[in-house]
Formats: sequence, C-alpha cells, structure tokens
Amino acid sequence: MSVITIERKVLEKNDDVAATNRARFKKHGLFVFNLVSSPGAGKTSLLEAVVTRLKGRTAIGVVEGDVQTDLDAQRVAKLGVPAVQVITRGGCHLEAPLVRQAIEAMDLSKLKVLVIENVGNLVCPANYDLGEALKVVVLSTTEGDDKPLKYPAMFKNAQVLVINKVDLLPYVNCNIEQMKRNAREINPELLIFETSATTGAGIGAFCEWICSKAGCICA
Amino acid sequence: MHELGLANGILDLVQQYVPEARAPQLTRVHVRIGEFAGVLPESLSFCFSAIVQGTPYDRATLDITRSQGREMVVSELELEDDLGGAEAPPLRTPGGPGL
Repeated sequence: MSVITIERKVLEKNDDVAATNRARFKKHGLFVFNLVSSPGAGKTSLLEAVVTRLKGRTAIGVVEGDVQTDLDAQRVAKLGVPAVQVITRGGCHLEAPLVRQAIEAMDLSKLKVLVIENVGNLVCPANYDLGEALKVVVLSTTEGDDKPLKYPAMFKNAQVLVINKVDLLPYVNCNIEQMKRNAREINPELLIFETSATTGAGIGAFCEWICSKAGCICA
Repeated sequence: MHELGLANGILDLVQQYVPEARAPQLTRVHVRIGEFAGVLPESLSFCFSAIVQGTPYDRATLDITRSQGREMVVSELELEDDLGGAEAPPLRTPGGPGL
C-alpha cells in the first residue's frame, strides 16, 4: 500500500479565482462586501435603502446572485446604479468564477463600493470566497433569536451582522438582545447593526460604516 | 446541494495525481473537514460515491476526519501497490512528469 500526501484545499480552484478577483478589486481601490442571508431576510430591500442613501455620495455597484430571474438586479438598477445579475439555475451559492464573469460586464474603475448580494442561503455561501473584503450577514427579527446558534458557520465567517426588520419587533417572538448574545457567542468580534429597510431605522449608521471602509464621506 | 460541487473538486484534485490507468489502485481519499465548514460528511461521501460510480475511480471512498475551523483539505491518497502484474504508469506530480 502507498500513501501519497498531497494537502490540497478542496476549493483550491475557487480560491485561486477569488484571489484574482481580490487583486482586481484592490487595483481599483474598491471596497467589496458579500451580503449573505436566508431567503427573505431583506438583503435586497436593505441594499435598496443603502443605495438610495449612498448613490449621491459614492459610486456603488451591485452583483446580484439568484437561482432564477433578474428581478433583484432590476430593482437595484432602477435606482440608477450598475447592477449585474448572476443566475445560478439551481446553484445554491455564488462562486468566484461567477463573480469574475459578472465583473467583466462592469467598469470597476468607476466604482468605490461593490456589493455582491449572494443567493439566499445561510449555509453554503459561508464556504466560498468570492474575493470580497468581508461578509455581511443579514438576519431578520422574524427568523428567531436562536438562528446564529443553528447556523454557526455563517456567523463565524462573517465580520458584520445586520439585524433587519427591527420595526417588526413588537409583533414577533424575538428577543433582540438574546439574538445579539447568541451571535457573539459564535463570533465575539461581530460588528452589529440594527436596521429596518422599511422605516429607514439604522440605515444611516450602516451606511456610515460602509463609507468608512470605502474611504468616502457619507454626510 | 453544495457537497456535490465539493465532491467534484475532490475528484479533480485526485485526477491531478492519479491517472485513469492507475485509478483502480486508489482505495481511499483522506479528507479533513472543519467543524465550521458547513459540510455534512455523509452527504459528501454519498456525492463522491455517486460521481465516481462507473468510472475508473469507483473503488475509491472518502475517509473524512473532522477538524477545527473551516478547512476542507484532501490530505492523502491511499493506493494498493499491485496492479495484478500490469506495468504501472507513473503517478502524476502536478507540474511535473510523474512520481
């Protein structure tokens, strides 16, 4: 019997392309984040609120990932920012080669911020480096305060948590302080924002953070 | 199910080292999966078995070890030495002619 030691990463191909994407983003001085969540947490609505607030202040572009349709890219494009839709046709997550293909259709030199809105899925996107600076996980108050404990990989791999739909707190069985404790139990370093894409609550603070990372003035 | 994509990634790595002519010797592929990788080992094994079925690599199974963090690594390939008297073509070294 022979044993060959190879020690190779399973996602090596993806990670090589992610590194290429990252280098390209760095070349253009872009701040790029990967927006992830369960389906229905409010990623696209949050993005619409952010784009509406930021578009006059910084150049923002969006890559949208969905299993089917370009509805989300249409929503964002209506706000007057470049938006490219990636349709995975069954794929449950974006991968670096798909993002590479998408950014070929964008003029990155004209952007300061690029948001990659991933396919709605709180499991698989955690594993796939797309070339982003960091992952922002969106969790809505309607999903329950124990969600971080049930999906630890995503909360462990993200740097920012946006708790969305805070306007619904009076109507749902969610203890937001417990939600934050659960999230920090998984990842003590998480930066947490509380927002409502519907009422606009907390959007300003989240946008200020984006601007601070992108090196632009948000006021 | 992303385990299918991961299984394809594992097979791709295997094929970089083990040419088809020697694939029947490959019995085990040792893999380390981190506890935060979000991967179900049973699903990964199932998917790997499904994609090698009917191919020269269909004797190979995954031997998955749980580890810390979120790593997903193919650590070792285990091969039987005997090809039943046939002259064995060389294994590959990615980037080189053979082992």
